[in-house]
Amino acid sequence: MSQNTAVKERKAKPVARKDMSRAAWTLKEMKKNKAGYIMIAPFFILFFVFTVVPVFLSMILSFTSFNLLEWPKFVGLDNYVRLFLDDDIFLTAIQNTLIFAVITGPVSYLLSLFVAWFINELPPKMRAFVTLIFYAPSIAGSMYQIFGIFFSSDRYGYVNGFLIEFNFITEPIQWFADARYVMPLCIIVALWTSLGTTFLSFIAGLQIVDNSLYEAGALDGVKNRWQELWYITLPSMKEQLMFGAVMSITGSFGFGGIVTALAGFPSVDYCAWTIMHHLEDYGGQRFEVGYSSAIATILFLMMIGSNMLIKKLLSKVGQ
Amino acid sequence: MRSSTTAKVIAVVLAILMLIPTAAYASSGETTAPKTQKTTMDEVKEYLYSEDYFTYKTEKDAAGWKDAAGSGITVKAAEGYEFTPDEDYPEQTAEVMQDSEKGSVLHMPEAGTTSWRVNIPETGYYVVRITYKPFETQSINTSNIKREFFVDGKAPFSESYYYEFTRKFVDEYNADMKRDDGSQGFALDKNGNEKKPQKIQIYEWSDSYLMDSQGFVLEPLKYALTQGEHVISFNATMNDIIIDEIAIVPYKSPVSYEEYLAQHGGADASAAADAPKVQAETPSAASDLTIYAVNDRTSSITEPQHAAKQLLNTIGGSKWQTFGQWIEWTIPGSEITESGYYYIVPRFKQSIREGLYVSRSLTINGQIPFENCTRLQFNYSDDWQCSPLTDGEQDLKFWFNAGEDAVIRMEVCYGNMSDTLRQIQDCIEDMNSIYQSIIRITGPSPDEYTSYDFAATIYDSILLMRDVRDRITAIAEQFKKILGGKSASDIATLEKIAYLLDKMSTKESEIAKNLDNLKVNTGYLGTWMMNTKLQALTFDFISLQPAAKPAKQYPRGTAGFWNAFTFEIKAFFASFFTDYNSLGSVEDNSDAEAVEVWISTSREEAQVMREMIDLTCPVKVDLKLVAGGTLLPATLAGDGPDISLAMGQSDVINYAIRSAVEPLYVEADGANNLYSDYPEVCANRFNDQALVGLRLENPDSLGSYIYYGIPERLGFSMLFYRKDIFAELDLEVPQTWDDLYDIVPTLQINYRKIGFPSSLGGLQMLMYQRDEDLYSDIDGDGVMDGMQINIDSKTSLQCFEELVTLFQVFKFPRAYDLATYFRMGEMPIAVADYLTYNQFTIYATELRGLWEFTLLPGTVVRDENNQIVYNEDGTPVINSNAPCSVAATVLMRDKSGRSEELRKNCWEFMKWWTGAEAQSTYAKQYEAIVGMAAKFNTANTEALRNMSWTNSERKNLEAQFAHLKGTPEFPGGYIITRYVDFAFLNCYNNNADATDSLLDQIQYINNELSRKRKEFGLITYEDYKAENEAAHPEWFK
Repeated sequence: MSQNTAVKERKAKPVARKDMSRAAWTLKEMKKNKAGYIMIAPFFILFFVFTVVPVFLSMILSFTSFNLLEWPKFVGLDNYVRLFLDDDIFLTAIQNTLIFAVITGPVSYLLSLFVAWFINELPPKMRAFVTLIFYAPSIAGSMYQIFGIFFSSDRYGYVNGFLIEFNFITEPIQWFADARYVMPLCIIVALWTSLGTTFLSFIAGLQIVDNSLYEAGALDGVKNRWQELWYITLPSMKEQLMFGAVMSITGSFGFGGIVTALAGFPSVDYCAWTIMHHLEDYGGQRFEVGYSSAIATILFLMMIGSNMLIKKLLSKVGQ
Repeated sequence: MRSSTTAKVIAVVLAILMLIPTAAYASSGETTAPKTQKTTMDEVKEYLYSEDYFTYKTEKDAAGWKDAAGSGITVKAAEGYEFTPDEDYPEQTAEVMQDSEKGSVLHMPEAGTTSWRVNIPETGYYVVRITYKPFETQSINTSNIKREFFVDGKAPFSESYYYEFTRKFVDEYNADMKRDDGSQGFALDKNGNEKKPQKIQIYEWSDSYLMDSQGFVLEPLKYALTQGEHVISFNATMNDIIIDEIAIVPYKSPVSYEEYLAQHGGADASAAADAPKVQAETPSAASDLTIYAVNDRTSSITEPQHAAKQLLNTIGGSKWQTFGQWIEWTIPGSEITESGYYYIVPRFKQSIREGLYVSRSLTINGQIPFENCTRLQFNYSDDWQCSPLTDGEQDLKFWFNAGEDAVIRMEVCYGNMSDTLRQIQDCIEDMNSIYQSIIRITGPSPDEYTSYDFAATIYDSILLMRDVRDRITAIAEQFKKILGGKSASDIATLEKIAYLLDKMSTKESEIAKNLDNLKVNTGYLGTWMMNTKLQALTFDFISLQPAAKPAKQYPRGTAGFWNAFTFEIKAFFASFFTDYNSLGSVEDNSDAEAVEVWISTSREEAQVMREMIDLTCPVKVDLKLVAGGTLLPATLAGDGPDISLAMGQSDVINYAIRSAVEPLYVEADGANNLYSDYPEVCANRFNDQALVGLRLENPDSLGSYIYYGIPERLGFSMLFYRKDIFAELDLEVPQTWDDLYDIVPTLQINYRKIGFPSSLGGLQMLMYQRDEDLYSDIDGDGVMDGMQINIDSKTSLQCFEELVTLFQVFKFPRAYDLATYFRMGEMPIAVADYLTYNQFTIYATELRGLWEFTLLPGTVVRDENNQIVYNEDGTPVINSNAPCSVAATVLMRDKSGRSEELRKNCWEFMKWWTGAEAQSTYAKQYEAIVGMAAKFNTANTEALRNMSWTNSERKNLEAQFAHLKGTPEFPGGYIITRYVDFAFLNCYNNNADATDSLLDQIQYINNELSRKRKEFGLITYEDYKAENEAAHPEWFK
């Protein structure tokens, strides 16, 4: 809707876009909306200096050999060549990252959506309370450490203790040090902690849907709650859906910290080794910042790619 | 159910069968190898099974023993003594010295036994009092003096093994520093904050009875001696001592309060008399180096107080909380203007033991005025209090003579709680033994549906459970009385345990079910005990108030509302202008020649270091406390410090190969080095293995090294074991791996576990004991080149095989909580970092004397023909090497270039800091921060020796110190841990073959090593091979 009004306004202008160069047009528009630009300036400057510049710097560094302590040396595409042709572990990392992203991304996204949808049905006070309960795991910092205690490799860890007690096993299982268990456990923990900002934004999105739309929908023949959700609720909260999707993707691609905390660095046989770990390994432990910048660049491109994909998918919502 | 037991039996039998091949291999070496065990298990048993004082006294009382009459006997120590040297320290001997005050006195060294023959005039109880002073040695020795006391060669009760004698320290004040009110003040730093004065030890004669060093008995310990000749002896366990006299006398208990009042008669000091006051932060002496004045900001009327500046206005707190620590204050006679009764009114704060009280004992001029003074109570309040000394029932008044100096000494004790604490300690010990007896039947995870028939097997333990239950119920009742009906978690803990024991001892089916509960609760009780024994108390001042003065006129405890309010407001505004981050130095240290040093430990540790620098460092130092991880970005930005402390060895080399750390010494340049005294300094101070991890081979002059740091901390593992459990199972401490294999079945049959490092840690230990290096040495010149990993050599693979066998076949646990397992006796033997000592000493006090750390089990050395190599005395040579790792003080790169002067200063600082004196002082101060008896792993050999170890601890530590092997660092070395761990876990989780698993990882490791070498322009294996294969084909087989 807002797009439509914008188009109308533009049509009403005497000066047409094609009359001037693109730069001049932008400048003109900026002047017109000066107040807005001033207001976003403080954030934008900080964002630009501390986020955009480093991203570009990192891209530049990815063409160098840089050990953090000495001046970088330009090496051309060497890092990328090595990354794709001479680094088996990187391939493992990509594989794991994709597994994480494909499983935890969509699952946590849908989980957030449905939990938010259900919670939205509750009376307001109850809703606030339940929201807090669901949101708590993600604000409580390293609460996931509790899984480390549950699945401790000691024979007195809760799960081991339980299994030994009931004679399922005789020797403790090394949960986070056994390649068979690490990945599934980490996915479970990731899902548990994933009800975060995404979920909160969905709740907010659900609250702003205009009630009159539902009434209109009812008159126009919406038969059940699913149709209501698909044709009315979701299209009205597309912005939140988009926001949630971006958060989920970056979250699942950037997954790594929890694995490190639970399964150690590196996890046994690199079984839960993600791109994030690979990046930390080279940047932090091996002092090869050029190489790790190349990894970061790849990760960045993967995220952008999947963002575009998601955008495409989301445009199908309600159709 | 039967079948599971049968299965277990079969498993055990199988385990033993599997042992046979190794055991057979082992026995060839063992039959010829006599044991060289130093502490024999017989000695341990004698100690373990000696009864405690309480039992001893009860028995003797029942047998009709009474205090002896008469005056006892006094022995002049320097006459008629007999000295037996300790076989490990044969050079130590007792000698007679001349003392200006006492004539001939006897110096007893820190090892060996000194005995006297005494003729006891009359049968009865006697107590022992010695007149002693600490021996002045060159090394700074500040820990208590410890001795064992024997009668006729035996300790009649276990407390007799632990006598401690305190030292005396005084503050050095500057008489010019007077505070506004004319009282003694402290030196100020550049911000106007008061600085702690330096403490010095004074060597004075004092008298001390032999008292229970745990503090459970308020009186001196009584020995029941028959008439006639006896031999008494002191066996040294820690530190030298000089003694003049040993008095064996009947104990005269102090008079009662009523008698005291009757004795002095007289009248209360009149209300108009002066009320002398002494500021507690300026004591006249204290028992520990670590008792010092501290700043209090919790009250606006603490004297003196300042809104912005940190004044040292109180003393005590957590620095004055362990049994036996005392502080002395002198009230000048000139301020006592009237003889009579006074109340001693301190302003104090006891905000730790909620609901309970802490205790102190009091002496005035060296005498206990009356009996109640051994159990003064200070009640809990979250604010300051100002009230007369009390024994909990009444306020006590004391007689002071006008014009006479009064020396008031207060010592930490457990007062009225002593006996209760002793009972709880007993209960903990009994609960431990109950637990032990149950797991002997069931193992640590019993099956609750199995009928173990406990009534037949451990009937004694069931009875003991009931007994402990009754005792704990009684203790809970006592606590209720103390707390006056207030409910507290203390009582809840006790009642819960009593309930648990009741359940377990009355219903047999509950025993197996609640075994874990029993363990957890014993742990709780232990922790509770440890906390309760900490008797923290802070003093602001001590005043004498004439007894006739109404209590309303005493100084205030808490500040009035407006006073506190204005203080807080002032402090709030002052916070905008005060620099709380600078570590109060006396002068400005930011000039060009000052050495900038970064430390990233706790604030307290940094503060300690700052003080040490001000007192003894020869150069100016700008010490900065930074957050961890700041060093790398700062170095990158060219804004780093001159010197960084305690950097791990892998970081040192990582920084060094990227030229971020400056080389300290280039071997090839010899005397041309700026710091040409480096080799000499290091040789005198450190184990030579400590340098191994801090050097790189010189690429310009192969075969020689460049050194990048000076060792600061040195970590290595030792073998910890529980003496009591070894004695009970009749095992000897393993000296070799074969010995260890021999005891594994016994341990496992008794459901005990063995703690052993897995992965690279374990592998390195085994390899180093066979003198196998971690890296290759292709040209065979004895210097590792780091081009390839050496864990694929025949010996190394054998070692890995052995390591994996321990875990695959003997089922050693890979992950375990050592502290708990060790405490509960489930893991009576474990290889762990030697600093685990701290954890056991501080947190498992109930295990005192029941454990020890000793040399690692070693490998019997064999020559090329696989024959055992023997020492001259016929014992086989055993290699007990432990891998060690260092943290170093390093000189950081400085892009802008340092002046010659500054470079020299940097070196001076590094020499000072890693020297014996600074490290010893720091080690002592570290105890004050971390806790009594906490040790820190200094690399300085002398400083390590000077720490307060007992003789046997020091002996074992030195033995291990002689068996260390450092690991060199090479580019890419970080990769080894990772892949060895993968190989190990593959074996552990999937029962894979050890050799195959390890060999699978070798190429990954070697690739990484080569890759990293290429990055730094070092020659790689591949290139080296291409160059030299033609000339030396034998190198590349």
